[in-house]
Amino acid sequence: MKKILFSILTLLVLVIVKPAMAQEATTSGSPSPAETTQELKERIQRIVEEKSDQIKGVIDQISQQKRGFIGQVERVTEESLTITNTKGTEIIPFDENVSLLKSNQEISIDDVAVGDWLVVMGLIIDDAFTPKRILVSSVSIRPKNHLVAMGTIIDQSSKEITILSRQNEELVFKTGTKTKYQDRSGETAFKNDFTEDIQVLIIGDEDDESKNASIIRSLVSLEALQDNE
Amino acid sequence: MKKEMLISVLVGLFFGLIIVYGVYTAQSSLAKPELTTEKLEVSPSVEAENETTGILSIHSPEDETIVNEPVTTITGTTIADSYVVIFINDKESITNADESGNFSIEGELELGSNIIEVHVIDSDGKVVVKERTIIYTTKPLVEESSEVATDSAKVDQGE
Repeated sequence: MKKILFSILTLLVLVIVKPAMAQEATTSGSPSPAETTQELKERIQRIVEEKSDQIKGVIDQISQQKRGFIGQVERVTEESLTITNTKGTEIIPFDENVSLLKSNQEISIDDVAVGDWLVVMGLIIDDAFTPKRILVSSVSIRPKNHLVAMGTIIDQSSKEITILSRQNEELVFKTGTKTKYQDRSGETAFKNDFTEDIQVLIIGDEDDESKNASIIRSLVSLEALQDNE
Repeated sequence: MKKEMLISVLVGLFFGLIIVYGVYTAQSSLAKPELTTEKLEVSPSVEAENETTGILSIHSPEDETIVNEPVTTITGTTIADSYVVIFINDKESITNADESGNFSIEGELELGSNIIEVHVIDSDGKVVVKERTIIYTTKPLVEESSEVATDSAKVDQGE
């Protein structure tokens, strides 16, 4: 009976001691959750300190985005300028911190007239636009009204070229010494190479009076046409 | 007597084993790192700067930006193999969209305002136009000096 009791006790000791020792070994090998958290906090703190300049730069960039646009003056007051452009109307706040320049000189807001053109530069801070520098011009800073058309030459004279566009519209362009003639690859070509029925791409501009061609590019191989002739 | 003793030892052993197992399980679960249930959610980025008009999408440059480099790259997507004419103010450049509809061209900027117009013309002669405004300046915005007058002079000449 004693043998049985001894065996049972031995077994019990083994069963109790083994997991406890295993657990001890495990806990001593890996840090506790609190230690891990603390270590992570310290690591993050170190990275933040190391990268603080970069982070500051990025935050500044995000919070102070630059914005520049143009517009024509519609209304002038002591505190603001109202301009219109292709996107609509915008009121620009004005104070002594805004630099207003015209013809190489600082001017006052009283010198800005309705109809003047402005190049407005500033920063977007907290979703609000703050102007920093405004350039003023008495003449339009908008480019010309550009035109791009594609069609077949139906008539050509010394000063004009007429095409039937692919939209089935007859378009007359003025040509001049500044008009460039190009072959299909964009290389310079001769005006005489452009005859009726040639498909062309015309780039130019238009005003109230006429359309002016600046580039006439053939859409077919001019060499091949000459060979056929 | 011996029988009762044996039974009580066995009962004690049984309960002892249960307690040891309970303690072991509790310690194991505490030692395990907590599995985070937080999910990293990635929302699709909204390309707000990519304005699309019908069949023309300009990827760069962004509208109403201020740059300090005299060269910009204009990229976008449109109809495959179409003609793309790009005006920077009044200076024109012609290129073609590739078979995927992508185009890219470098252009020189003028000091002051630059209106970039992208005209796309398809085989039917239909034209789509999109515009961007870029301001090119060599002076930082926050450091005002007399040198900024250079840009002003350029603008005043209507350029």
